[in-house]
Amino acid sequence: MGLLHASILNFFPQVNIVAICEKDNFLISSIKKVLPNVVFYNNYKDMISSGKVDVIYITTPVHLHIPIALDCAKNEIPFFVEKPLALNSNEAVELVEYCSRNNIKTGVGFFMRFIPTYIQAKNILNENVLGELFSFSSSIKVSQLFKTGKSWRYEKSKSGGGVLIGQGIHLIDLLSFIFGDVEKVNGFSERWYSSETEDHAYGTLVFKSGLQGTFDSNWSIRDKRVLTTIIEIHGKNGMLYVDQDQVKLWLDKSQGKFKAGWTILNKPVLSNGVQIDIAGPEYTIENEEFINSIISDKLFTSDISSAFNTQKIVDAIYKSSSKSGKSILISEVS
Amino acid sequence: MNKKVNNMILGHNALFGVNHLSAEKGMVKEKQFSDTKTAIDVIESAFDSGVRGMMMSTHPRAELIIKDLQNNNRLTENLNFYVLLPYLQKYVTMANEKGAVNMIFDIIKRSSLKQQFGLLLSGGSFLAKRDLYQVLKAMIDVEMLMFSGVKKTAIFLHNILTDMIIGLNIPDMFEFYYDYINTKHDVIPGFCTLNFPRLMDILEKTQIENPLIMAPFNSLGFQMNPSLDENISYLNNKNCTFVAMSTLAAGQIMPKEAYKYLFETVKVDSVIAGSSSPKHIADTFSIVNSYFNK
Repeated sequence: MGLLHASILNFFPQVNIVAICEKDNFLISSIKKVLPNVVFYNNYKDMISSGKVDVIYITTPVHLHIPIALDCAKNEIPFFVEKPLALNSNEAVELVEYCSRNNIKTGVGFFMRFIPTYIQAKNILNENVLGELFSFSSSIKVSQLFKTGKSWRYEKSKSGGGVLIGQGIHLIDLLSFIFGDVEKVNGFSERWYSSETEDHAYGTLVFKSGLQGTFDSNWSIRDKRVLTTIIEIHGKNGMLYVDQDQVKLWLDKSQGKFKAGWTILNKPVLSNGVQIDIAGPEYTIENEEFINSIISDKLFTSDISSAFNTQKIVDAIYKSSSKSGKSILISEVS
Repeated sequence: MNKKVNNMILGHNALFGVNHLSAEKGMVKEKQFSDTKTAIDVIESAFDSGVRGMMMSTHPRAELIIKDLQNNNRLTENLNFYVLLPYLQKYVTMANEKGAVNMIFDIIKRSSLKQQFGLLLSGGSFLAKRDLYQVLKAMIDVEMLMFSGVKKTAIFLHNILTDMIIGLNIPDMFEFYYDYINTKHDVIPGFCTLNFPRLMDILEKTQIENPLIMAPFNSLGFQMNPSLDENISYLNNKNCTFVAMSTLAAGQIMPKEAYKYLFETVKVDSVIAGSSSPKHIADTFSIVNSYFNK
């Protein structure tokens, strides 16, 4: 992710990559060869105190997110941190409070908020075309792991957990983005291949609005070549299906600008060109909006307050899972 | 080396379950082509329609398809392969499973003994040698092993890598790739991109002339960055050998309409298109062929 963000950011006319902090010597020597003007640091504290950086992107293993972010915040440096914000919400409390009191600009890498199909789904739902909402089902799955993983992602002390905090958290954040605050959860988890983290996590969410539904996250599914995130919502007047490629809306009766029957909106119709597309336009848009939030002093949709709420929901699911699926209120967490 | 690019190239996405419009549709196709015979039937149909170019990435199933193709003299003697390097999803999965540095080490272990010895020569492991370009050369060669028995016309650098290099502004990296593919593999070095105007801008800083570029072109502007208009402007004013991909915007546009727009709007040297249906392939390439033969 560091390389992806650096490639996008370096392209922006308002941004220069001036420093990189990296511990692996092979990666340092490789990058030095192709980016000779970048200054390298082995220790993030030296980079932060150098006085040469205006914004820092944190793309380290999760257990380093909070220490580095806190150092950035205390030196009044805006930062963007890849998801999840922290190993757990407890770890993030001091940082969230400090940034709020001191108006530090922050971003967390929940890039799915910038995928046009999910934005369109949220907009459609905001127009209340489905009428009274009954329920939703959702899933995030990928064919990623079929033996014991060897990287930090599968060590709980470094990652915070398995598929739920690794991938499922994207879905949890997206559901919050679309439906608002969660009131309580029930969660379950299973290890299929991993020795200390979960490969399958699922359960139910109940929102403060009263809407409830299911979520299912799995990275050991065999038929999902790419990360596939699906949300299906049912209401009195119809249903809405959304994934990263399309929105499919069925209405029994026409509502507003949407006719009865099927309306299908595909990615090509919903997408616009971006200044540079490296691994999907959503990453470019995410970075544009974050940088713009700093330059123009605007709100960024995926800041650490929002990410902290998402983290609490994930904590609640883990807690529920450890208690055989017992209902856990979000207010009981942190 | 004096190779010409075929004006029609069969795309491989449908055979490997890649669909840029819908991951769900792609999955269905992947199941359909789990038997290589079905893939060979599609290739045969394209060949019968006059197609002499075949795109292939280093997807795990590519090796099986190539092995089967080698039993078919008609195809192996007359088909020219265009390699897309590398099949990135494989590396993303490997990096997620074992970490990036372990992934590189595992790949290098599959290179030739001579190459491994070359990487070890400077003392210690190849990681200690820390020569990025030596490691990249070894990785390219490992990726190309499965294509050693087929005729190749070009090797395209995957769009994510091309576009990362654009973002990081490293024109030297394009020259390294161009020179290595030319000298070691004796085929045309090509670049796949979703950012055609920006690629042309950065290539003007290099010694690479008349580059071979594969990029999307369709009336919806799908995957054409920063805009359809800027892509058209560059295509009509800049010098390159252009292979148009995503011409049907992953099935959103019908072939007749798509190719009328393409051939009336810009100069194009080649069209790459794929389908899981022999009939669709025949229809599509029949339309494309009619424009090239005008």
